[in-house]
Amino acid sequence: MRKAQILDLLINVLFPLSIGISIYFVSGKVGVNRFIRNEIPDGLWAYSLISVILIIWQRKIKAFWICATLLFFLLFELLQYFHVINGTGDWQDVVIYFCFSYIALASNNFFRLLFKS
Amino acid sequence: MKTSVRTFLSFAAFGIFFAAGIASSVAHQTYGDAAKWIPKDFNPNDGVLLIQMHPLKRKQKQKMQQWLEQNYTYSFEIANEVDINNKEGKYADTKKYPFAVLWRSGEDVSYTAGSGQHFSWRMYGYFVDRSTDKAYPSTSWANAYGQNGYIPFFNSVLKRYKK
Repeated sequence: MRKAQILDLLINVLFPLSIGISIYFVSGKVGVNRFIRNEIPDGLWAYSLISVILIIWQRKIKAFWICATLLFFLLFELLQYFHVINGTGDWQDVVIYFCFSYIALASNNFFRLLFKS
Repeated sequence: MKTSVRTFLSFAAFGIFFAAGIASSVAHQTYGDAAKWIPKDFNPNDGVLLIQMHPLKRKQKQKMQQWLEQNYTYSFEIANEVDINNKEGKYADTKKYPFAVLWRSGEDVSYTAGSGQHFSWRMYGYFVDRSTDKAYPSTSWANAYGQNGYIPFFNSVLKRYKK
């Protein structure tokens, strides 16, 4: 794996995940706005997954994998909705996943050029 | 990198993120069947809710108290089960203390082919109307939160009476 890809992974996958995890931990100790506590970590989780898929495919937008990822988000909430896994299955979460996915896709070209070797 | 390797890595990413998504979500989990186990006449603004101490050791009792102080925005007091059930003690006034939350805990056993049986500790909360001694049911949802079982319980209450 090239250095540029490792840096890309750090910035667009590990960093957002770390922020999301930090929000979870901090919100248990200090008062944090409900939206920030509940939705931002979910959005960052979605952003990281879309980013990792883009990085694996050299930041070329592969329709199949992008659709598979969006379906994965939908499935994740549906499994919660039908009590297969723990959770509530909230449509607001799906909106957040899609918004953050859009941000990852919209910034793809920028990062592709930035990490071009 | 070969396409087959990229495909494998993509599926691996889905698996890892799926597991991480489930693991990280207890902090804001709720039970979707809250309407079935929260008493219809329960109003968190009326009186003080009595909450039984965490059934596990002191560290968990402190953690639950801390979590409640930071998240449960209504009046509550933590007490032991004997005091909650005693009608003549400190909590005798059922107007002031109309409802209590008690914990039912134990180990659930599950079986996995190849690796045998697994025991998992669970705690389920349920409401008790202290004026009639009516005990309401616990959630019927799967509970895999272990010693943090009080978090989705009270998240569900908070969500129902969102200010």
